Amino acid sequence: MAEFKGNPIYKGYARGELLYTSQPVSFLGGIDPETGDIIDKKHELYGKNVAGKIFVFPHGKGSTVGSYVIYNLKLKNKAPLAIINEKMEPIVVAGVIMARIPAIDGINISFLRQASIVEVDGNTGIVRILG
Amino acid sequence: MYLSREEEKILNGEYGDGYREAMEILVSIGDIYNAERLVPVSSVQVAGVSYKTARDAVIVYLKHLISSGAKVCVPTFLNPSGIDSDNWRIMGVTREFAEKQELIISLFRRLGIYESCTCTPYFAGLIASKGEHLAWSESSAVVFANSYFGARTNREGGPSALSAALIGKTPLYGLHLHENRYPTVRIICNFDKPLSYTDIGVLGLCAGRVLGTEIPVFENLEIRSVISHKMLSAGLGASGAVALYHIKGITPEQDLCENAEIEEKIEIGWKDIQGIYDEYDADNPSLIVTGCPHANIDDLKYIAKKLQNKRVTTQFWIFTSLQVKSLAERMGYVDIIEQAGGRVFSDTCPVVAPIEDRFSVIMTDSAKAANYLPSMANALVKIADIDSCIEEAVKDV
Repeated sequence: MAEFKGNPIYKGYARGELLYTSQPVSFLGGIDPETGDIIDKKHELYGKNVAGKIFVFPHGKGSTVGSYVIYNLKLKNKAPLAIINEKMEPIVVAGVIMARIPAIDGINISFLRQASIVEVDGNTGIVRILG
Repeated sequence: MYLSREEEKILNGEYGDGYREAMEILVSIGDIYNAERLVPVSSVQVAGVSYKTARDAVIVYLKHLISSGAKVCVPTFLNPSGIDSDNWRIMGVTREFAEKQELIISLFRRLGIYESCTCTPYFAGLIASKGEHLAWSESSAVVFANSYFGARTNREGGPSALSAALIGKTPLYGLHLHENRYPTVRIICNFDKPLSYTDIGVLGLCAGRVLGTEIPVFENLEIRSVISHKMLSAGLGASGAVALYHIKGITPEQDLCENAEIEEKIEIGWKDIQGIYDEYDADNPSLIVTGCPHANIDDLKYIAKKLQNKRVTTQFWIFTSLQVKSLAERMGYVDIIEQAGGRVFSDTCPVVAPIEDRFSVIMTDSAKAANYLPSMANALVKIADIDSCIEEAVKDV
């Protein structure tokens, strides 16, 4: 069972199915704030849905209004269970705090690429691959 | 990050949930950038105002802050709204959108924020001085504040700016620190003729696309007017990551330019900016827009002069702030423009107003608008200077 230590950004525990991308994610314009569908046609995850997933990507990009997209997803019960970034930037930081989603950064996300079930502890920054 | 006893109390929730959450956001952002501490700010510019982009989430979030009793404690100004509060019907906005937008604005007001609704707060009375710490969050205004005033702000976002407004502070990192403000790339300009305001905006967009997060110092660029700096700021800011520029011999932080050891150098001339004009070269616009960022009084005087006794044959919209529009009304410019069939809107802008899918081709003198309109309005774009825009607006069909 592989375990990695990153930086805790927002507290809480989550365990679930991984949704992984090596491409940065723009929440505004990239993800439908009502459904959690990835709507950016140029993104490799186009057509997938973030709801209930452990969402792993290198970092956020685009408009800072993206934080409100993360918040809206939580309001509509379509938010990821947790977010793991390599280097979290202010859009995602503000979003996970407002939405109260466990979040960790400082992880080399390529180590998670093949995983299917992952456990996240936002209090300690520990990520475990369970399957 | 060091927190004073008072700041710790806020973070522990002793002043309520709204202030606690604002402090959490500031502290978390400060931690990821290794900020030593928080620094007080003189003013804040808040983004995430238009219902088009911020949607219902901002309504819920603002209500949550208000219910906790939170209020801003420094002068705080708003970015453009999705509507001109007096004239949204004329722009073809739906009542449903307008009501949501009015609700958002009223919620910002209840936090104690000024209903300024402009991307040019400096034309609406908000100025800053060299070295002054701010938390601004409109991409063109951020660049302008850092570069024209020599003030200090990072590219804040909606929630981080709102948090800074509630606490009156921002984490001390990035451009708040002297050592992070040195230019890192020299841009040698090679223009034998004077640049129009549109050329300057296009220069900004062109340079911004290759600069990434670098800080440029422009050489051989003789631009001093506030409008030219507004346009350069807008073009650079629109490209994505530039927050500060210097111009040799002109901007306030010449000491940084003189003492920088820069290896990287880019040359920019007409060929480069012509490339941007070629990229935005669609024909037959059904809408022509100017005032991105918002026009000032001289712009309106000029447009009125050119439209006197003429009639437009294509929709021609001019965007500005409430303050400038009031003065322009008093001077008679708005009457002249509207007699010609043009429209002067305040509070909103072509990028955040809900005009998507209504105009297949939009013409503009703004590189910033050109950059955003394809995705935000689903339109093709033509960039040309204001004289060409007016010429197109009044031409015989």
